[in-house]
Amino acid sequence: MKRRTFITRSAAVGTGLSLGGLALNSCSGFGEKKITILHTNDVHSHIDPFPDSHGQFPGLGGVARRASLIKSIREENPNTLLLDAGDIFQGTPYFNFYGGELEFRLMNKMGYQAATLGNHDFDNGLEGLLAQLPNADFKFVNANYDFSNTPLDGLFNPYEIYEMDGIKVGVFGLGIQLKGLVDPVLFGETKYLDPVERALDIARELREEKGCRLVICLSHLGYRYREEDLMSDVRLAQLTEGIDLIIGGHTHTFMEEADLLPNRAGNRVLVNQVGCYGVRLGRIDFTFDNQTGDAKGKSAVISV
Amino acid sequence: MSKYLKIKLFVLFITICTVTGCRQQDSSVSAAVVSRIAIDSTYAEDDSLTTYIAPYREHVNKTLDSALSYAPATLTKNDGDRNSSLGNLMADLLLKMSDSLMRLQGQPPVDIALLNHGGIRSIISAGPVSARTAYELMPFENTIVLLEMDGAALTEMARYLSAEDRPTPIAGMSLVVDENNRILSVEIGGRPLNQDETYRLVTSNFLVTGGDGMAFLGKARTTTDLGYKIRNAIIDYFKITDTLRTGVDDRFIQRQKP
Repeated sequence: MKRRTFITRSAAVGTGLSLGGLALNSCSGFGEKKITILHTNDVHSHIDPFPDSHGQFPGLGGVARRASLIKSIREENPNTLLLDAGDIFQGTPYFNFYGGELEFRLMNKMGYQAATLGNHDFDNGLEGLLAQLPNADFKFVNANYDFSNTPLDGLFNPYEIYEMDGIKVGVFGLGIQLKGLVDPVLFGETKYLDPVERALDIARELREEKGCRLVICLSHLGYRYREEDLMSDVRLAQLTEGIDLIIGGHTHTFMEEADLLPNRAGNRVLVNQVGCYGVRLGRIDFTFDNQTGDAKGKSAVISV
Repeated sequence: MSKYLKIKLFVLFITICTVTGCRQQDSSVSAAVVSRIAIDSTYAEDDSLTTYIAPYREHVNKTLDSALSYAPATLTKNDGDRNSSLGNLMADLLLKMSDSLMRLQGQPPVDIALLNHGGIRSIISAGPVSARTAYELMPFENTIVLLEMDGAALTEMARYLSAEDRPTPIAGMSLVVDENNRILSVEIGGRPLNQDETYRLVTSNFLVTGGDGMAFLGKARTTTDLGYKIRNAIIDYFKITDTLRTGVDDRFIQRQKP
């Protein structure tokens, strides 16, 4: 298979680069800390691997394999955060039969720590989502849906903070405009708030008030659109500041490279997305200097 | 073994600590390495998860694969010029199941059913027919919508149907066009279309919200989503139908030059 040879060949390049990285960084001393971010998006109830005869993803995916991969990465680095950017629901009969229960329970077993809501997570309505929430041991984060007049009122935080090896990592979530995409009967009185305004507020709060050294946005806005005025991860990155990493979803984009975009303050933001259906796992290893650093008001990633 | 991972590293960036003699940068992140890992058979399955999933999978497969009905012949949506065996089956069952639901609720009967050619996602192979067949035919979560439409809107619908080069699934309406696609007759329930009457039509919410450019649906007097999924209507129909007897018929025909 083409895909296979391509990936195997690039593995060699990868090893070289990462060794190079270690060598270059060695001057920052033994005190440096490493945090690993693992991510999926748009898994869409895909629990079993695709059959070998599948036209697009032959023999790929499968939750039980993803679980062992995640376990091995956690053994390598216990300071690992496992995240999902939404659209957990809908796509196989598992969802039609169990309404998302199995998806959530398996995510618990894999040790997911946070997810955000995708448009398909509303496919069984607000009540359908509410009914499944007790099955999730992980947190849902969303900062731009106002659920105050709905049964979901008070059930989601805009962000969560995870402290690993003394480093605080803030994770917040942004959802896509549901109007025109989801049947209004399903999302009811949910109000959509401007993602850019919310992102600016939350990123500032996480960085300046909560002391986060890494700020991650779990976004279900979509990578980018031909219609320039549609909000997307690329636009969000450029119009905001204080975000280090945007983990995207919705557009099922298999990015061959992560984007590194300038934000409005001139710092750089990473944007990454790993397609769909759990056929890939995204991994980002952040290395932190031993000193605390002044993270206030700045994106931690890269100021070259 | 991690060295063996199907990893592609594609971004590596490092603050240039050599330049500043290893002093602290504005940033506290000194490097970020992004990789993506294709999940394939080189990763062993985690046994505890495989075991956990098994009963769910068995239940789903057993339910999906148990025979509900039987197809004596393979049905496709392309076996006729202006109507097809599978299109007719789908439109007929949509009409029948929606009509039963309406009668159950004490509402007037349904006159017409309309689907789109592209919305039928698979064939029905000769042999046993199961719920899995319904998932293949209709993988989407579309629901049935009931529209009240006047004669003028239905005339527009007849024009749309006659201009389509692929057979559009219809039931309850019959249509005759000449060799130039000019409409010769339109009948609803066996009677000529009456411009002054209001008819009840069922279709997919996908088409009502603009799918396939069926603008005439926008002229409905009322629009009511029945909340009944098309796939569930298919499954329910299979359950009450022993053998799927259908075929290309004369509900939509084109007269040829004498």
